[in-house]
Amino acid sequence: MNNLKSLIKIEFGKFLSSFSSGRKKRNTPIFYIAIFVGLFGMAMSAGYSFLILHSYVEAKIDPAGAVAFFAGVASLFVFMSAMNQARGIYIGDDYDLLTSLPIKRRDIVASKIITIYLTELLFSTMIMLPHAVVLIIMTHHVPLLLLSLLLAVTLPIVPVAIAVLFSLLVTMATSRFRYANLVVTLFYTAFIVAIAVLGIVTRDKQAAEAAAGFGAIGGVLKWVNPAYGLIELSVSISWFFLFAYMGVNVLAVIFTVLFFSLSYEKLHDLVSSISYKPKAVHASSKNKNETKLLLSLETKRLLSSRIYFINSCMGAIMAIVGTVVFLISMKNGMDNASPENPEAAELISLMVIPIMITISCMILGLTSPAASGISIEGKSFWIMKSLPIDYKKYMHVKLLFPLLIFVPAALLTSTIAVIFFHNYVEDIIFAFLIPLAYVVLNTIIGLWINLRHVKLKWNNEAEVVKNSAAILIGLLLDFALTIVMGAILIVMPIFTRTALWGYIAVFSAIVIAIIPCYLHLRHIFPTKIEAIEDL
Amino acid sequence: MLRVSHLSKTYRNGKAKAIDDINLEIEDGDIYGFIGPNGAGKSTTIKCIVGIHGYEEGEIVFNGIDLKEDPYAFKSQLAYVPDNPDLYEFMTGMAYLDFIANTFRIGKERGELIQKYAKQFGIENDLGSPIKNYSHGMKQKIQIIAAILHQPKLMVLDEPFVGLDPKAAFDLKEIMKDLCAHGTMILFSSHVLEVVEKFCNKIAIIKKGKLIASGSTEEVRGNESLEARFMELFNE
Repeated sequence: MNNLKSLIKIEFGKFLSSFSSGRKKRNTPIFYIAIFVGLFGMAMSAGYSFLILHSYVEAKIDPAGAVAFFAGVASLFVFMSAMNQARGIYIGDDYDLLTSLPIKRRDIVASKIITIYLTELLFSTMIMLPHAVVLIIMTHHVPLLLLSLLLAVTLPIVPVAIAVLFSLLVTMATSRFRYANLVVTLFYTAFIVAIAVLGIVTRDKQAAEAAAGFGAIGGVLKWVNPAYGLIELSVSISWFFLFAYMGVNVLAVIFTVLFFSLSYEKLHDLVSSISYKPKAVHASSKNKNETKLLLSLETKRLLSSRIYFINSCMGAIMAIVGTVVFLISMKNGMDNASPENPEAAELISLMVIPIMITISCMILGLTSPAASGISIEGKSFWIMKSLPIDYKKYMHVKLLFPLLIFVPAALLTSTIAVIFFHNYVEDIIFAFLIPLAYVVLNTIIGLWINLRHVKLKWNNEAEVVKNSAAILIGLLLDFALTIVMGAILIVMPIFTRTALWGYIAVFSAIVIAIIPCYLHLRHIFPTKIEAIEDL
Repeated sequence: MLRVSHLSKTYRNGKAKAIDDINLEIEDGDIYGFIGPNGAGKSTTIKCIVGIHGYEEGEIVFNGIDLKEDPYAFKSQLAYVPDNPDLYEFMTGMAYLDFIANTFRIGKERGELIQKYAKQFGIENDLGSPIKNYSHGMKQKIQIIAAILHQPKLMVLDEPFVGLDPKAAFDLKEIMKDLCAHGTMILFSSHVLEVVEKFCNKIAIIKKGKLIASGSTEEVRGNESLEARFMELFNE
C-alpha cells in the first residue's frame, strides 16, 4: 500500500507539474489562472445546465433525463481526455525504472490508472457539480441532487477503463502506419460529427422534444460509457440499478487493473516493437531555402506526434462542426419562426453572422499551436540554438505554420456561413475578414506568450500542447478577447439596426492590434530565443 | 583562431558564477582537451562558445567574427556534438542528416558523404529507421556525422566518447586527426584523461568555474602523468 500511495503521489505530481511554467516565480500567478479557467468552465456548465433544465421543467418532464444527459456529456469529455493519457500506462518513460525496482506490477498499473481517474475527476466535477447546484435550485429534487454528486465522483471510472483499453487497440492497429495520427484524428472527427448530426436531427424548439433530443444524444453517448444505460435507469432512483451501476464500476476497475498488471511487460514489448518502418530514403539533391526547410521540420513534427496533431487539428475541426451546427439550428429556427414579430426576426437575422464569427474565433483560438510553438522543441532545442538559423525566419515559420492549419478552417467556416446567410453584404465581407484577422492576432499573441513561458523539459507532448502555462494563458486570453468581440458584435445591431458598425469596430481593433504586436514580437524574438537556457 | 576572453556567466537566480574569467586560445589544427571534475563548468563553457547559453562578460571571437555581433556567421563555421544527443526523434537518421546538410547548404555530394561516414560508423543500414528507435551510441554517431558533414572550421564536442564502442571511438579520433590536418580546430571535453593526454596538443583544466591550468599538454602535465597532475591540482 505504501508503494501504491507513493506512486500515486509521483504520478499526480507529474500531472500538476505539467502546468508549471518551469520557473518557480511564475508558478503562483499561473496557479490562479488555472483556478480561474476552472471556474470559467464551471460557469459554462451552470449556464448550459440552466438552459437544459429549463426545457425539462417547462415541459414538466422528469429532470432525471437532464442529469443523465449531463453525465453522458461529461463521460464523453472524460473518454476523449483519457485516451490521450492512456499510453503512459504501458509505454511510459518510467517503464525501465519502475520494472527494475521491487514494486508489484499491480501497484504500478493501479497508480497510473488511479492518477488518470483523479485527473478526469477534476473535469467531471467541473461539469457535474455546477449542474447539481442548478438542479437543486430549479427542481428542489434532493434524491437527484445526491445522485448527481455520486455521478460526479463515479462517472470517470468506466470511460477511463474503456479509453485505456481502446487506446491500446488503436495504438496497436495504427502504429505501423505512416499516417496513423491522421487515422486517429479522422476517428475523433467522425465521432464529433456523429454527435453533432444527431443533435441537429433531434433538435426542436418545443421543450418536450428538446428534452427527447437530449435523451437521444444520450443514447449515442452509451457507446463511450456502457454504464450509461445503468445511469439512465439509476436516475429513476431505483436502488437495484444504482447498486448495479456501482457494481459495474467496481468490476471495470478490477478488470482493467488485473488485465494490465498481468500483461504489463508483454504489452510494453508488443507496443514498443510496432512502429512505422519507412522505406529506405535518400538524401535530397537540392537545397531547400531556410523557410521551406523549417516548415518541413514543423510538418514532420506535427505528423509524428499524436497528441500534437490531434490537439492542433481538432480545434480547426471543432470550429467547422460547431459553426455548421449553430448555423443549421439558426436557419431552421428562423424558417419556423412565428411571423407575428417581424422586428424580432429581423434583429435575430442581424445577429446570426456576428454570433457565428464569435463562436468560430473562440474555438479556433482554443488550440492554436503557436502557444506551444517554442516549447514543443523540447530537449532538442539546442539544435536550433547551435545551427546557423536566422531567428527572424524561424519566428516567421512559427507564425506561419499554425496559420496554415487555421486559415483554411476559418475560410471554410466563413464560406459555410455565407452560404446559409447572405442577406447583407457586410455579413459576407466580414464573415471572412474578422476570423482571418483574429487567427493572425491569436497566433502572434500565442507565440509571444510562449516566449515568456517556455517549457523545454518535458516527457510527453501533452505537457506542452494541453497542460502548460502558456496554453492556459492563451486559453484565458482567447475567452476574454472573444467575449469582448462578441459583446460588441451582438450589442451593436440592437442600437444601430445594422451589424456593420460592430464589424468595423472589431475588425479595426484587431488589425490595429496586429501591427504593434507583430513588430514587438519581431523585435524581441531573437533576444528571447538567445536568452532561453532551460536546456 | 578561436579566442575566448574573460568569459563569465552566472545562471539565473544563481548567486555564484558558473564560470569566471575563462580565457582560451585555440589555433588552426589544435586538438584542445578540456577537463575538470563534474560540475566544474566544462559544459557551461562549451555551451557559451556554441551559442546555446548567453554570457554576461567576456568575448568569444572566431576568425574575427564575434559570437554576439554575428551569431549566424559564427555558427556557420562550427559544429557541435553534445554529451546527450537529444535529436529530432520523429525523423529518420537520413532525414536528420539531410536537414543538417540543407542548413549548411551542402551540395549534391551530401548523399555520398552521408553513406561514407555511416558505413565507417557501421550504421548505414539504420539510416532509414526513426531516431527514436536508436540506442544512445547510434544517436551519438548520427550527431558526429551531422557535425563533420560540412567540414567545420571549429568542432566542439562535449564528452564525445561516451556511449561509443571502441571501433567508433577509434574512427572518431581518426576523423578528428584528419580534420585537424586540414586546419580544423577541435575543442572537446572528456573525463577520459588517457585519451586527452595522448590525443590533445593543448589542455585546459577547470575547477569550480575557473581555469586552473592551460597550455600545451607538456606544459600542463609537467614531468608527471596527466592524471597525477590533475589530482594534484584538484586537491590544492
